[in-house]
Amino acid sequence: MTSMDAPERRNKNRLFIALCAAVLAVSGVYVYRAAGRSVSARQRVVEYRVGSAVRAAQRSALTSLRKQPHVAFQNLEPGPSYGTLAYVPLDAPGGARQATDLSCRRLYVSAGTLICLGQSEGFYSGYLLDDSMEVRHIFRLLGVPSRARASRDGRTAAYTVFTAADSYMTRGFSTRTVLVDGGSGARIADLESFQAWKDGAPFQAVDFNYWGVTFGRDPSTFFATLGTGGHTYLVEGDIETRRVTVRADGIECPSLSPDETRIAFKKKTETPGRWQPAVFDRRTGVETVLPDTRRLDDQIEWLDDERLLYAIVEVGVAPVRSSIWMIRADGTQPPSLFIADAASPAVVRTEQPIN
Amino acid sequence: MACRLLPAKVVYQLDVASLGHVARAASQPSARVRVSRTIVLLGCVSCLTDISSEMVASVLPVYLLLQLQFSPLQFGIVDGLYQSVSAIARLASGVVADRWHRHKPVATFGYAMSALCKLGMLVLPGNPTSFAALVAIDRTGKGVRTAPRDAMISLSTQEGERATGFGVHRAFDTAGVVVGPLVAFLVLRSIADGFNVIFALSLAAALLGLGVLMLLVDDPPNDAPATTPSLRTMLRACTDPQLRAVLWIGALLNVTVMGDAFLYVLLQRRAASVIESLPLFYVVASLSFLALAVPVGRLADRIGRVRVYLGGHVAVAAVYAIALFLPLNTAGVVVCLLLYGAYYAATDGVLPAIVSGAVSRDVLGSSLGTIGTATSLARLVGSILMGALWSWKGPGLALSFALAGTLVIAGSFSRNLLRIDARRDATLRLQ
Repeated sequence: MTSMDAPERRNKNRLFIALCAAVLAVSGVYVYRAAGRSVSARQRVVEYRVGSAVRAAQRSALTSLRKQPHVAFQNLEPGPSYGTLAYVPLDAPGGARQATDLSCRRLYVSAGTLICLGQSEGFYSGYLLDDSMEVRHIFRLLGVPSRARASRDGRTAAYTVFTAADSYMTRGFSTRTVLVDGGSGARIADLESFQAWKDGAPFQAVDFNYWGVTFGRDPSTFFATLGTGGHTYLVEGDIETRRVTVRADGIECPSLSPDETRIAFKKKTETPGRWQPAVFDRRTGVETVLPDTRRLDDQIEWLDDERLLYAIVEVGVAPVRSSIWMIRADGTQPPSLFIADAASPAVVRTEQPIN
Repeated sequence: MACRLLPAKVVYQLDVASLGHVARAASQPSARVRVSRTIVLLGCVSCLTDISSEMVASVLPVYLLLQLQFSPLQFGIVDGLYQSVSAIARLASGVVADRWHRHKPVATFGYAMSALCKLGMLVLPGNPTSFAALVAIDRTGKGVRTAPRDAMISLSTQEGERATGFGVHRAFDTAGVVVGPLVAFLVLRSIADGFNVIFALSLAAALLGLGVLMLLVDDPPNDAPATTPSLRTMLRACTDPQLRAVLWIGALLNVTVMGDAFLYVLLQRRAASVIESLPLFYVVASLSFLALAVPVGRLADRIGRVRVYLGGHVAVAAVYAIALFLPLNTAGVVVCLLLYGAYYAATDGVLPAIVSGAVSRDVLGSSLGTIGTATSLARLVGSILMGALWSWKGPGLALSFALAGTLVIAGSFSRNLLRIDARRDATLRLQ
């Protein structure tokens, strides 16, 4: 074995100790400061327990706002309420917003059931709230929040997360979509346990990924995206029979219109990583691509039977900046700003019987 | 600097005076095995580097998709780079190391490339192009360092204890693979959007690994004649019938091996265990590999490396057979995962040990590089094939193919290959 002479070895050992000390010191300071920044930048996440009601600065204003038709969304206005659940009246979306202190990355509300994907005790967690804004259930999420929806009767909620654990395994992108009971919060099923059908035959592959559930009027029916082998299939699912059936290809992140005649979705473009909003007419099979070429990555929400809402996120900016835009579903007009500094819109179109 | 090795347990001590880690183990007093300081230090380098790269790898998909708003397609492109770029670099770096007649500088260059990438991830704004380039450089670095590093391990051991040496190194390496994702997981849990913290910690681990390599590891002596082997010599070495048999079987057995992800998903489905348990499968198999790497390496040195290498494939065939024919419960899954770890222990470090014993020292790097390139390309082909079979006729067909292929290939090459053991037995007896 070659042996270095002793002084040289000693020098190198000293150098190594110095390197260790320097690396540990610098990275220690870096982590410490980053941890501090993370707390101050996004303000402390308010911890909720089951049974506690969501707080807002002006509780009475919030209640009266929620009785009218309104939009619930994630508030991204810089300030102490950044990232929290907020509301605006449907007839004045650009007006003053009522923010709560419940932090949600994605949220949806339907028939009094509110699903919020946020965090709790340092873990990504889902919240289910009832129409009195009380937390009924908190569940741990197995990944980073991606999509959330609730059925029209509020009895079922669905969410999609990106799973770090799976991607660690496959080194790929992986999603997990779960249906939960809107009342009890009990898990109904992971969509991957459903039997898939395509062209009248059972369909399976190792790379199945489901995301982006949207519900129909029939409480057992939903649509979602099934990603496999480079395809993004539109599937129609039935909760009772635990089946999904492939209906079309190239329709990603579907959103069923209130009258159920059309499906709004994000359509892949020629440019990798770009989607455009589009509408698929279920009666005629005609696809209409809408005139917005910005980078869309959201599950579209119907404002009414004629107009759509979606968030456009500024790329590569931290903390996230995003605004909600509105566009006509027939593609005749360019998009217009609906709510600035906001994401994850959920429209409540009718008056609500809340006290 | 070498010490006695006791088989039941390996104790790592810090020798303050020389700052060398010392590995010890014991069995019968007669069978003393020496694990050199270089191997343990190289193990530390790999452990730190794996912590560094697995930390990033485990969060990369989520980071690219969510933080930088990549599309899955862009992600696929980056991921493809990640997977395949390093295969070719292995061969090239082995050749360069042989021609320079020195392995450490080439290995250092490979480790330094990866460390530099971690710095880039930390300071460069994350646009898709620069990020894809960084990932490609990182993986090239991995390809560059593997063959010269294995050559250094090989040169730091006696012929009779080479598989043990590789086993010790692989145990360290696997420890890094287990720890890295865990650290990333903990950081993401406690610091919201703590991707930069992960990159910073990853850079720190990479720098420490690089520091150990540059400052503490001696370039092992290469007692081969200090000539520069020509490319023709290297080519001739690679077409040596003995090495050719190793190359073929190494490559073919990697075509029929089912990818980890496939196997784990399949076991999980067969046992109907909850999908959340999948990450645990990884941990159990890695821990089994970690625990068995040294004892199985020792076994290989005692009874013959080819025998153990083939035995490893019997173990993986057993996993396929269990998954195919027996009803699986949790205990069955655990048995499969332990066997799968044993398969890794009997193949991952043993194959380079076989190659090292079969070639002359002046072409060590290029031979190790060749087998590295062959096996990783074969694995790529294999995973595509398995995916296609699975999608076409379901997991049963993929499993049957893996089982039959493994047994047929191992069986048909075994006579040819076992001659290597026989020859080595004869040589050792002569000594």
